[in-house]
Amino acid sequence: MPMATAAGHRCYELWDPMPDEVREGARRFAAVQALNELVGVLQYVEWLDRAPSHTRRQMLMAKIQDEVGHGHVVARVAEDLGMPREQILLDYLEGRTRIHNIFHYSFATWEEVGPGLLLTNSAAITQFQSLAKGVYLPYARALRKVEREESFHYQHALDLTHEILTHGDAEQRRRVQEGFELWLPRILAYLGPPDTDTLHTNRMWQVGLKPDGNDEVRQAWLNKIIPVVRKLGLHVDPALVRQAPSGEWEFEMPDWAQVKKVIANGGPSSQRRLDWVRNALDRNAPYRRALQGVA
Amino acid sequence: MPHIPTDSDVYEVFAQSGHGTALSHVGSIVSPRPDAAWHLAKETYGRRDDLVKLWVVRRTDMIVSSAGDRDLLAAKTRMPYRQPGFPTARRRDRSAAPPAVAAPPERRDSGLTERRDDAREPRLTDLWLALADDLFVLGNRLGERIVDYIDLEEALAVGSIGQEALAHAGTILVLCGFDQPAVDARFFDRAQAQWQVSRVVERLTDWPSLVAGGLVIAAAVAVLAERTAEAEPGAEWLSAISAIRDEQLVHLDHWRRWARALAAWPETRTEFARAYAEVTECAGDMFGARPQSQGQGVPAAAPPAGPALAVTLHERLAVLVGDNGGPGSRLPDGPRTRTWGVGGSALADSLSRGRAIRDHYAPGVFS
Amino acid sequence: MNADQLADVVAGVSDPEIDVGLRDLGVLRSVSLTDGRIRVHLTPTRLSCPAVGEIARRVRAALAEAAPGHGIEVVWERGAWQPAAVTAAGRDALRRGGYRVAGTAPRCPYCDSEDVEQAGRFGGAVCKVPYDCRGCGSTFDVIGTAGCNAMLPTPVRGGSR
Repeated sequence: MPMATAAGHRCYELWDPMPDEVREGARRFAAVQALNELVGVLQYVEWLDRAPSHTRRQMLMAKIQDEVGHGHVVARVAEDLGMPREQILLDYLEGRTRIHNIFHYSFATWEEVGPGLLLTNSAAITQFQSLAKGVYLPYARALRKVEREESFHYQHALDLTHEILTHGDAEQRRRVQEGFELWLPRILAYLGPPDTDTLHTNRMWQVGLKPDGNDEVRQAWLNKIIPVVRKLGLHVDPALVRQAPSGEWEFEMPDWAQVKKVIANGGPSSQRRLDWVRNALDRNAPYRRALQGVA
Repeated sequence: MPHIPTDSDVYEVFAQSGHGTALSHVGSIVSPRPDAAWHLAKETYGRRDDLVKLWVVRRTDMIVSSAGDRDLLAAKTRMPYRQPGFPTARRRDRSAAPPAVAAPPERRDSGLTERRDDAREPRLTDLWLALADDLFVLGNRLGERIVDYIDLEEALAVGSIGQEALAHAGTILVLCGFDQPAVDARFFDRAQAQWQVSRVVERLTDWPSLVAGGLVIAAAVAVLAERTAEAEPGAEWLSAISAIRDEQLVHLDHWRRWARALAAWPETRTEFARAYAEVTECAGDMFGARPQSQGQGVPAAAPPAGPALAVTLHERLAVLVGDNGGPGSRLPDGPRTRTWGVGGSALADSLSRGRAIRDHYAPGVFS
Repeated sequence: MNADQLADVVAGVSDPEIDVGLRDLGVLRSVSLTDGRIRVHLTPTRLSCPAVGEIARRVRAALAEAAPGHGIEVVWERGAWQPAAVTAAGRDALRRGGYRVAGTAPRCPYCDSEDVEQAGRFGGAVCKVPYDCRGCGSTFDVIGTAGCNAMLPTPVRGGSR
């Protein structure tokens, strides 16, 4: 068992005495991730019964199921740290927690799903790889497994995008390109505001739960994904993202005030997501009680 | 001005990987320029050492067949592929004509012994194909319930059961001799009048009815799998049929737990009793498929699915459906026949949404 | 290359989700070579395994690279996978990835504790059942128990079993 991270922080198992900040931080990270896994899939569920072939539909359903499975994993981690799992969706409905900016949008076309999925998935993988270096070991282990399972969906997203780019008509390919250009800035924003100068004052970095800064993770992601996108045949507009001679990626800085507004349930699909969750919980309340009452 | 990939940016790649072997198609790529296309193809599809030839051809410069040419290309040479011994049906691709019996005037409660328009008795294959239709719709309905958040574990249960319902539907078709394009054509391109779902399907809307519907469909598939396995114990397809039966028994067990819970809980008792009565009343047609395709020989070992078989299967179903610790079943005393074109809005919505994207693509893209 | 060497090539192909080779996972059944044509028999861990397409793609790519110029056919044997087919090396690789294989009493893959609890009947994938370790607080999956090997079919009147 590693007792210290590469950065020299002491590591903790569930029953170890640990600083309140570590316990609360890990609980919050895991609970927020659980919420995003659970509500984030609504984006894909909306396309499930339009998926255009038997195989594609099975793949999409497996992806949705897997994300909810990841929600189940991290919700259990949060639960061990004192967060009842029922609380996760209630906190969201009552405005105490928020979903990531990307989940406040919907896909307008099927062609957008491939690049959207590809960018979202690869960014999440990069982020989980970073967080998996954190000091709370049960969460770190869960993330390593989740990240590995995500790579399968990443392959699916590649295949989905490639299928349309090579077999779709000009209009359909154009929509894939537009989808890429629409989602790239959203994912850049998803990875968080620049923090290179302030990282060392971030308590989560100090206690070892946030091993890398946002900028570092963003650069790592761009290093991986841009060559892949180019190889697929998509055009990467230098106005959106370009590599400086130093190797550093430059990009158009997101409008952070706007991003903040979206996250505060001011995005195009924010209300739809809230309504869906509220209606589902209400509609199924008697059945939930039956399950709990009889069990 | 960003460069948007156009039709002429798509290239087909052919490679020969050894002397004395054929040059063969290895894939497609997108590239804005021909010279870049060749290099990308080399990078994507072959290591330099391994390739003897690499041809990269612009798609727009090729004369290619479309899915509509399938029959033309296959007409004289292709034999329907069979899994040895499994009751086989002819593959039907999307260009196939609807069955002659499509959308006859509806007749209720016509018993299996009654003289029908259909020229012959249904076979095991017909029963399987009809249950595959039910499983397909059920799988789709369950997929949406992953985000119903009854609780986290139930989300994973309906997702697993839904995925397996879809997979079993596809597996059944493959065992019946369908290839992948034919599976897609059958599930996506048939008009509702060509479907022969159970009357249970139109009820798969609210949760109590889904519990009841999931229960009867799982029970029916398990019963038919059991019977099919008995018919030819040494068959090559036995492991697939046994796996379907085993997985459906897990589903059945799950729905029975739900049935007991909903029946015991005061708040849901009445609603569930009504749903269960309505669904089981509809479930008399589980083994009431009409013949779906003409002119295929039945392998000798496959038992004919005459009225006697339907009665046996129906009796076995009645045991599973009646014995659930919940409310009473209203399963009819004997089997009922299925009717083309039922399924109500549950099937209609599923079909129209399934075509929403598919119809906008050239045939064959998603095959 | 002969059939055994080709089988070793396929054995070296990794599962798309877990760092384990196809032979070690019990997915590879056999490889034959007849008249320049390679036939690979595989079995998915579950009928509804969503990874079959990706696995077949990887197998083809690996064979095309190792033994260029052969026809390749991938045959899926449905329903043939058994937890017992996972090799000792496969069990090790799975344990390192946070998985255990069905068939014995599950222990935590991280701390080896026997103090584990099943966390539901279905997992995030059809081949996995979720568990919690009460020893170290880790979550893990058991592969291969979602089937009903442990479940008795409900008594069927007139049935032959």
